Amino acid sequence: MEFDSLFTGFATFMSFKYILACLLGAVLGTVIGVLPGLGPTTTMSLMLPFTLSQDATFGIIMLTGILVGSQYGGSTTSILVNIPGEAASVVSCIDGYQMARKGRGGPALALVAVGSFVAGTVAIVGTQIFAPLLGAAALSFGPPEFLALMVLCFILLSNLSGDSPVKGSCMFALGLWLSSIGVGPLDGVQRFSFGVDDLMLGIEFLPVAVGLFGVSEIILTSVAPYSPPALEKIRLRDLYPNREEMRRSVGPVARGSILGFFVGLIPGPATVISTFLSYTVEKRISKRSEEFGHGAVEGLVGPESANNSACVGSMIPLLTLGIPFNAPSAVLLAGLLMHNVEPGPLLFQNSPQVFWTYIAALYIGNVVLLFLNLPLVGLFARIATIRPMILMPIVSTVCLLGVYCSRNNMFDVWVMIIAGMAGIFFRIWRYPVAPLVIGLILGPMAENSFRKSLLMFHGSLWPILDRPIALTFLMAAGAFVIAKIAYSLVQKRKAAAR
Amino acid sequence: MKNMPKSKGELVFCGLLFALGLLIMATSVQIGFGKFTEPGPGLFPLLCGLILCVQSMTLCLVKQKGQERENVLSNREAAAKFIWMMISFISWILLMPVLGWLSLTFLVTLAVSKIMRMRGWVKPLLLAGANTAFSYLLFGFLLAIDLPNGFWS
Repeated sequence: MEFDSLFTGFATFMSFKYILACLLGAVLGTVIGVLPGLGPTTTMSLMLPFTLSQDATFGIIMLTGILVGSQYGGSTTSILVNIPGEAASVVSCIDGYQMARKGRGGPALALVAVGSFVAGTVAIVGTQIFAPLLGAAALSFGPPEFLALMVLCFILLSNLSGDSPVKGSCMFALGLWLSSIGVGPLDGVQRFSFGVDDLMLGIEFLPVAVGLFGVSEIILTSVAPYSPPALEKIRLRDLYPNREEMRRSVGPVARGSILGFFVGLIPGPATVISTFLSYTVEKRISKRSEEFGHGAVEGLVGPESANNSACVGSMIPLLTLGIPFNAPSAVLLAGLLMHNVEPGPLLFQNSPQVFWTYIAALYIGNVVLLFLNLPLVGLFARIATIRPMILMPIVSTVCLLGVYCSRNNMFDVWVMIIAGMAGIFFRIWRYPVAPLVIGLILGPMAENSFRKSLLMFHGSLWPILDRPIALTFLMAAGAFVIAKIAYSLVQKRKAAAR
Repeated sequence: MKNMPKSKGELVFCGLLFALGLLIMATSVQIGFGKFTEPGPGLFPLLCGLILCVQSMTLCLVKQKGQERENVLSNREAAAKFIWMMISFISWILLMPVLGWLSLTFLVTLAVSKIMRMRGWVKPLLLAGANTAFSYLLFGFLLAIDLPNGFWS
């Protein structure tokens, strides 16, 4: 481990503006995590224009604070009112709410906060160790390796986002095409601009992301019926868990932390997948599996630890390869690119201070979130009762002004509204939007690696198979497809036998 | 989980995706996809269009497995709310050069709160005023962004 670099990162972090960015991000993230509907991706997209007035480090600290904070906040309403603040907290409703109904809501919140802190710390140490190693290894990546990695991303994201791989691949292809609008990367040819001046500069990431996640959420919330949640009051003295609950939490927290970290390295909605995996693992190995669903502490702290760990771990592919594996990472990448910081193998050579300050911010942010969440849990839970009719008008104007301000261009606001309308229909008919935004941001890299590989190998892609790293990625993609087909065949056979 | 027949709307949507895929492919051919030894600027979008066409066609033809989801815009009230929301947002763009950003922030906040059925006029007006003040503080004062002022300028 490079302790000198880490200490430099801490030294850089210890300035008023970075501490402010960390605090703002953590508080905002927790609030967003508590509020059902507005997820971390929407909030991060909305905050992107505000970070532009500051430097890249400020931006990455604030955006990461929002992301990690939302994982902490998401569990509060799951436990207290049975409403998941965001997708990764759905599993916490199962046993967390049952614990609250038995009068153990306070200890459940405390154990989740401590478990999340431990998992977050484990994942930060993992990032600190593995990211520079992976970054160094990625220096040997050429266009064929990146192309193979894109194929792996395409297959995993299409299959793991949403419930239909066909819809997932449709959305990924749509995102890749949107990225090709404007000037071509290698030859400067205009594509799909149809003579419209604004289209010649291409479609920006921010209005698409705010439209798909933010505007569609505002409209769907406005048309959905609202029933105020009943809230149990939690005081500080109610938070103490008993010795039995603490003893039962140690194993699930440790397992969740490690499992979550490695799930974070896989393309797809890592935080969500990690919670379901952790819940399944805990239920399977538990001696009290009959308690699951009725308030088993293992079924709560394991998944909550896993999602925090996955959230931090999912940043490794972004930082080392420059490839976002999920929607929040795509927003973070957009933010870094807006600040002219290009994540990827060269990050550790060109801007190491960004990486080490980020690590320092994660350590401090994790501590801030622990101390923020325990005493203020009652206050955060009360935020969940704010009516959408108060919140959504404010969010609407932030969307409109935020997107306009990013380039002072009204065309971006049109793009946002069109993306918002499309987003509503995507959601109604269950088209996953994450592959679209990831496709949009990965498009230029995918096209470059595709065309450069063809040029390198004189029109054939077969020589990619001679390159060990690229072959490994392609074999992983192939293995996933085979496993998926085998699984569905087994399921069909079981269904036929019934 | 059960086999779910698609709604007409969803079929139309799949059809639109298919048409978009065809349009992308046709335009890509016009741009020029070159040769495999010298790939042109149209090759990559051509592949994207091809994937979109094939997959949207699959979606049109094959019954999907999945949980049924209620179409939230199917009732008249919800559809009206959706249309009013869109009108508010589009008005924000169209009226910006005339009314300026502060007046429009006030009006859009008021409109959205009324669309979301906030009762009376005092609360919506207070919310709109507070949000306008907050927006001015954030965008106009702290971030000092040059936004269109309309006739106020």
